[in-house]
Parts: sequence; structure tokens; C-alpha cells
Amino acid sequence: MNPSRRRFLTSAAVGLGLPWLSSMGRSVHAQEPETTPRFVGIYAPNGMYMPSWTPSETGAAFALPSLLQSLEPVREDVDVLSGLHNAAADIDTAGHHASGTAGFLTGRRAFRSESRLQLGVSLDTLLDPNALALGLEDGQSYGDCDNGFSCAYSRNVSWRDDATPRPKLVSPQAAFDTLFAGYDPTATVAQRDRRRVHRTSVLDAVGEQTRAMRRDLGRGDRMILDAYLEDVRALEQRIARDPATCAQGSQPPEPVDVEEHAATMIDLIVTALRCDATQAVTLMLDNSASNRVYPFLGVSRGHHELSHIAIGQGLTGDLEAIGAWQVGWFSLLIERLRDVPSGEATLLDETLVLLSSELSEGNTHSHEDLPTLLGGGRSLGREPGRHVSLEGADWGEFLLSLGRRLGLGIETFGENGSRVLEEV
Amino acid sequence: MRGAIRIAIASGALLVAASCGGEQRSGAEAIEIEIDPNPRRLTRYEYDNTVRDLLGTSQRPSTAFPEQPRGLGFDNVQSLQNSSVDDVLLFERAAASLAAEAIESPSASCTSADDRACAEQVIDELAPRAWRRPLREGERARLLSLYDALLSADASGHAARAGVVEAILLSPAFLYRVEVDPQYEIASRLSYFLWSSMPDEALFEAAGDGQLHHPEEIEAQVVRMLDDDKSWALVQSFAGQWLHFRALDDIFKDHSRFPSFDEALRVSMRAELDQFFASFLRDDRDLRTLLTAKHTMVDSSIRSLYGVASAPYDGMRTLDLSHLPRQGLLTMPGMMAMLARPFRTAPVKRGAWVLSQLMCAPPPPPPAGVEGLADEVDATTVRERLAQHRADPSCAACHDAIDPIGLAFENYDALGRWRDEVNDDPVDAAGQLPDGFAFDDALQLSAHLAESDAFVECAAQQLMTYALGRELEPADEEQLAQVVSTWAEGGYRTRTLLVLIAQTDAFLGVR
Repeated sequence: MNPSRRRFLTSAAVGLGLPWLSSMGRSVHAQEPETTPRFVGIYAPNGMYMPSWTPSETGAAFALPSLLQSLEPVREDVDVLSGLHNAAADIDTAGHHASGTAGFLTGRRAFRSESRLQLGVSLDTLLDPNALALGLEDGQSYGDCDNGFSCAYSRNVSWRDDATPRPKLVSPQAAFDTLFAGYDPTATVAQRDRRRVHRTSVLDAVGEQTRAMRRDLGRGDRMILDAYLEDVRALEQRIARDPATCAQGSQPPEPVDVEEHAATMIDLIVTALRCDATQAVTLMLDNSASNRVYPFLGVSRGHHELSHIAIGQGLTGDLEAIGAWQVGWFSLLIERLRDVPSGEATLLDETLVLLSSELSEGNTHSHEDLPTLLGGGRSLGREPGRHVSLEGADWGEFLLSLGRRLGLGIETFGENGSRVLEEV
Repeated sequence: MRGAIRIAIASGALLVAASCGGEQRSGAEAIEIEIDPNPRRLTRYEYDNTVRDLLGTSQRPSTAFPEQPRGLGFDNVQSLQNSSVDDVLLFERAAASLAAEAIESPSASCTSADDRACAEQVIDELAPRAWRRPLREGERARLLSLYDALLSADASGHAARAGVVEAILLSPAFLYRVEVDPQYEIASRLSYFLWSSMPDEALFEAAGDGQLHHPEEIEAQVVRMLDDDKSWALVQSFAGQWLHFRALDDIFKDHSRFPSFDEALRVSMRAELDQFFASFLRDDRDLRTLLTAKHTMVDSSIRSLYGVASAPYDGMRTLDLSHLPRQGLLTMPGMMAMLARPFRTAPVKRGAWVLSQLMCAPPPPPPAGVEGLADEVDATTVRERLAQHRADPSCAACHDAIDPIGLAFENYDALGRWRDEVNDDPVDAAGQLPDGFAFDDALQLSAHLAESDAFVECAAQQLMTYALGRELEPADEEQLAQVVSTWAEGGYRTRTLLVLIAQTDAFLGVR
């Protein structure tokens, strides 16, 4: 690993994910002129049908098993990694879906409680405190979603700090607006100017109102209004800056079905990275233990149900159909990132794209041999296109290795990540 | 002297737990900041209801808003405000969308040909209602000068008016419950308490007349508001959170064991719970019968869960529980299913829930390192599986209270269906509480709980917490004790409790 590409953080900041970092601009790291590392984590729930996943040979010339057929056009840019065990998530009690999901990008064991959250900061946050968290399914982060584990663990893979999941955006339009400060990219320059004037005037007036109101209030109430005033001002500044330098494509539609939803989110990820709106994005294709049905794949039983009964009832074809569908989105993202030039390389070369799940075999709730794809990263020193067995390695070590590949100056990650895996 | 919550912030996780036997504290240093939990921001549910009533819109913008941290189990009790730039952007989007629709609507059509007069009309009709109080010095002028500024920057009158509406909806006077005028303050407290929404014309008028501190006026308003359909908010939001009805949305069941559990059944279960609680508000029922009622309203799928054969029928019908081993809320399928695991019942969860939600005596979390029962335990009955709770004194301290309650409900499986046996072992539902009360089954236990001081005090406390939107302080608790005493004299009727709480100094903001 080239030391000049390292980013350095104090060790205190690593553990705590201090939110004030975000106010210091997008990154506290020294800016490296040649490569901006990026990360995309795609979470596919309920594991995979492993007999159709793991290639029988290792190395570069392996045959693509049925679940990985859609990788054919991008196989040179993708590693299949087998054998990883998430020991932190491998609990003794029930609740494996939640614990696996919580540990997905944190490498930590979730504290089992409906109401008190205790986990750890996730990898995407370390790369970019303003990481973007996307999902195809909503749901509140309170209550018991899995045998006494809070719903927060089941519905989030991105964590701002030990106890705070990053708010997940399910609406593509809201996500787009959040990234691009609410500007309509298809507008003409004149229209954009008018919008900017309109919005800043409105926010200006709101600021004045707030200042007037706070004069009449006591100390406690003032603090709340002061915080609001600050946020209004900050938004006004963002709008005034008008990041019009990137061709953002058109504002996404509100999707009518899950396929359109997924496709729109993939588009959004490419746009977000291409326009440097963020360095890190996560996408949950559904929440943990999702029981979604996929009628357009000919699958009418729920996904979670299938993950348990498929083998026993001869329905593995249905389970595979869902897994292949999920891999298809990963594949599409790889292709789209590869199509974006970046200097003499491509956006894909500067990005690590991860697909994995909270479990391997859904029926036994296993956290061993997790189904893992890792794409991109040539400009970060990777040479993908292989099936690599990482038998004996821990998921935390894998996350540590990703972090180092992304230039983070971390020595450890999560509970078990203290050794870098050179093959990653 | 508004309630202040002192927040202790540690550099790591905050854990201040008193175990049943002693104190456990984190080793981290605590920095204490005194933060007033008011003014609270409108919750997502309140925002949607408020714009519905303000603008007549069917938009539900809050689906894009982030969740806020929640306190004491209620989303309208907010111990910290965590707003951010992204939050304001989402509010701005919502405001723009609502304003665009509002300006188009026929009810906003202007009686004047003069654009500026139209803008004045918008301001005069919308701002006081949106801000839930009369406009103060300078506010009208400021909104008009926004209009002028937008016009002079080349906007159409239409766009400028929309901008004014956006500013109204982005003002903290709209988004937050900022309380500056005592009478209008009471109007908002009443409407957000009973409707999770803004005051209506009648409330605004009463506030304008300066009547809203009189106990008789409060009573009249509460009764009127309970008769309004908008009081469904108490079922959705108060009962949904106090009794965890909303948690039905989060559960899943193992399909091989419980193939009948699907989305339709989930909805049916929730409907029974909602209708049951609603009947207490509508019919002013004795709230103690929440735990002992001998009839319920169910659709045909729930009727089968009760073990009563029936041909399918549409809608909901009364089910008489007199000849069934059922009574009240706890043995309803929705509750038993929600208080269970995907593949089995959960006696400890059930017991802890009763203690926490119905007795306001939540057991503290387990000691570090004890995070649940390992799946492989060498025992036959669930009572035996929990035997360690009794054998180990540090477990027994808490579990002597929790386990007997939970085990009493073992006859009701993870869908709430009756069973005589679990894995061929007959269920033994008898038990004894730490205070010495012995019972044969869940029905005797429920009756005992219903008659206890702890239950009625807890119900009142939960409702008062929800009404005030904050933790109760000693002064509030004194008033609560008076409320409970008067409530008892009135036979524990549900509407009486709501009226009494709304008449307290704490609720009326009397300092």
C-alpha cells in the first residue's frame, strides 16, 4: 500500500465518529490530488443459496456459478471472496438477522436491547462523515424487530457513531435533493438563478422571523431556536453556492415498483460519486429478514420464509432467483461506474464496491463464509477478477483491509479487525 | 419554571442502570447540560395532521423526514433536538410542495384583482392559523416585505405568494411548539394532546375570548374534542405508543410454525386493539376494564384465533368472552403475538412489558454479559428453562417479579391462540407475585392488576407524560396524585381522566 495515499485520523476520532467533523468540510483528511477513494456498500438481506454461489476454483480463471452469472461482463473488475466469518455478529442467542446487519459495516456486536443502542461507527462514516445512506424499505428505528434487538439494528447499516444510525433515505427524490441542495438539474441557468433568489429570500425571511422570536424567549427555548437558525443559515449558504458544475441528470421520479426503485438508486449512487457530493454511499436492498415477495421473478413466497424452507421444500430455484436479482444490481453499478472516466482511469478504479449479506445460509443463520463481492479499486492498488478464499479470516479484518485500501490510517476496526488481509 | 431535563452526556455510551440489587454506572465522566425540552418540534405524525387541517392537503410530507430521538416511549417527548441542515432542506421541500398546492387551490382564490392585496389576504388568513396565535409586532410587515422582495426580483405575484406561504411553513412558529401567549398556548396543548394536530376555529375563538383557563371551559372543550373524529389520534399515537400497538408493524413470525400469520392478519390484530381502546374514549368506560373486559370487536380471522368457529364475515362483530378463558387487552391475539418471538412465546418479555407499561415499574436491564437465553438449554418446559432465574439470587431479585407474570400467559401462543400444552407438557399458569398475591391463571392475575393502585396510577402517569410532552417533575407528580384521587371518586371513567389532566396547572402552564 502506497503510504502517500493514506489519510490520517487521530485514534480518538476513529472510535467516536465525532459529528463536528462534518462542519469542517467534507473531509478532515489531507487532500490527495491524484485519487479520491470512494466506497459503496450494498446490503442484500437473508443470505444467499451458497451451493450456487461459491465458485469451485480459486484464482482468476474460475467458472461463474449460477448466482453470479450477471457478473460476466464485469468479471475482470470483481473479486469473489469466500470464507469470511463475522465472529462479532455470531451471537449465541436468537436475533441473527439483526446482529448480522448491525455488524455489516461496523464489525461489532450489537447490544441486545429494544431501546438502548450500542454498536460502533461504520466504515462509510470514517471515509466521509457526510456519507449517504439509501434504502428500498423504510421503517422506524424503535421497538423490537428481532428477538429483543432494536429495529435500528435491522434497518440500518450505516452508523454515525456508537449509538446513532445515519438516517436512511428511501425516497430517491429526497435523496437527490439532499445531495444537490434541492436544485432541479434540468432547469435553465435563468431558472436556477430565479430559484436561488427565491429560496434564499424565503430562508432569509425565516431567519429574521426566528431572530425576532427568540428575543421574547427564555434561555432554554432560545437554544432550540438558535440551533434552527444556524441550520437555516447553513442551508442558505449551500443554496447560494449552487453546485452547478456537475451535470446531474434529471431529478429521479418517485418509483412505482421495486425494480424502478433499485434502478433509480443505482443511478443516484453513480451521480453522487461522479459529482463529488459524497465519498461513501450505502444501499440496503431491503431491511434485515425482509419478507418481500418478487412476483416479477415468479416468486410468490416471502424472501425470509424462503430462506428457511427452500432447501426442505425444493424451492431453491425461487431463492436463487432473488439472489441473482440482487447480484444484478451490483453488476449494473460496476458497469455504470466503469463508464465514468476519471483522469486516465475510471470512477470504478477509485471506488470499492461491496456486496454482501448479514448471513450466508439463511436457514441456519450462519455468519460463516459470508457471500461477498468486492469490485473496483484498481487505482487504490487492487487487481480484481479473482476468486479468493479468505478462510480463517474475520469480517472485521476484511473491513479493516477495506479501510486501509481506502486510505484510512486505522490500525484496527471493529472488535476483531487488527490484521490487514493483503489480498483485499 | 418549565420542566428542565438535565442531560448527562458521556464520551461513550451512557449507562446508568440500577439493577434490582445495586447500582451500575459507566466509568465515563459525565458532562451535564441543562436543556429545556421545550419548544418541541412537531412529530412526523403531528406535522402531517397539522398540514391536513391547515391546508386541506392530502400530502403526507413527513414520510421523507428523519426520525427524531424519542423519550419515555413517546415521540412527542423529545429530550434533545437534533435538527440539521438536511432536516431543514427536507422541511423546505415539503413547504414548497405544500405552498404550490395551496396557492392553486380554489379556497386560496383571491377576492381582489390587486396582487399585493392578495398577498395580504394570504398572510392574514394563513399565518395566525399556521402559527397558532395572533401575529406579533412586525411579523405581518416582515412577511409582506418578503413578498415585495420576491416581486422586485422578477417573480410573478403567484410565485411571490407561494414564497410567503413557504416562509410561514418554515417559521419555527409553525414547526415548533413555541409558547408565547398563554391562552393560545393552552389551545395548542389541547389540540396536540387530543388530536395530534393544530387547534380548530372553536379553540382559537375560546383562546381569543380569554376563556381557556377556566376548568368548565376546559371540560367542555375536551368533551367536544373527544367526540370529534380527530380524537382517533389518541388511539393511533397515545395507545399506539403506551400499549405498543404500533409494534405490531415490526414483528414477524416463523412461517412453518405460524403459516396463517400474514399482512392481513397483522392488520386484523391491530384493528381489534384499536377498536378496543377507542371504545374507552367513545363510551367513557372504566379504564380498569382495559384488563378485564368480557367482550371485544373482531373480524372473522381474529374470531378463529380466539378458537370460536365461524363462517367468514365482513367487517367486525362483537365477540362475547364470558365463556372463554379471556379477558381484556392482555389476552388479545394482537398483544400476545406482539409480546412473543418469531417462533415461540416470550414469558420474560411479557412479564417485563406488564411491569414496565402497566405498572410503570420497568425492570432494569440485565447485568453486563447476560443478554438472553442461549437456544440450547437442557430443559423440557419453559418454566424449567427459566429455572436459573430462581436459582441465582442476583437473577431472582428481578425475575421473581417478571417471570410469574410472563409464565401466567403461557396458555396463549405466539399468535395468541389458546393451548393446554407446550411440547406435550401441560401449561402451569399458576404463580405468585413478590407481594405474596397468588393466582391460578392469567385471568386472576389480570383482575388483580386491574384492581391495583399501581395500574391506575401508571395509566394516569403515562397519559400525563404524553399530555405534557416531558418527564414528570415533583410538582407535576403532586398534581397527578390529586388527579388520580379525584378520578377514583369518578369511577375511573376514561374521559374523566383526560379532563382532569387537562385541568391541571402543569398542563395549563400555570407557573
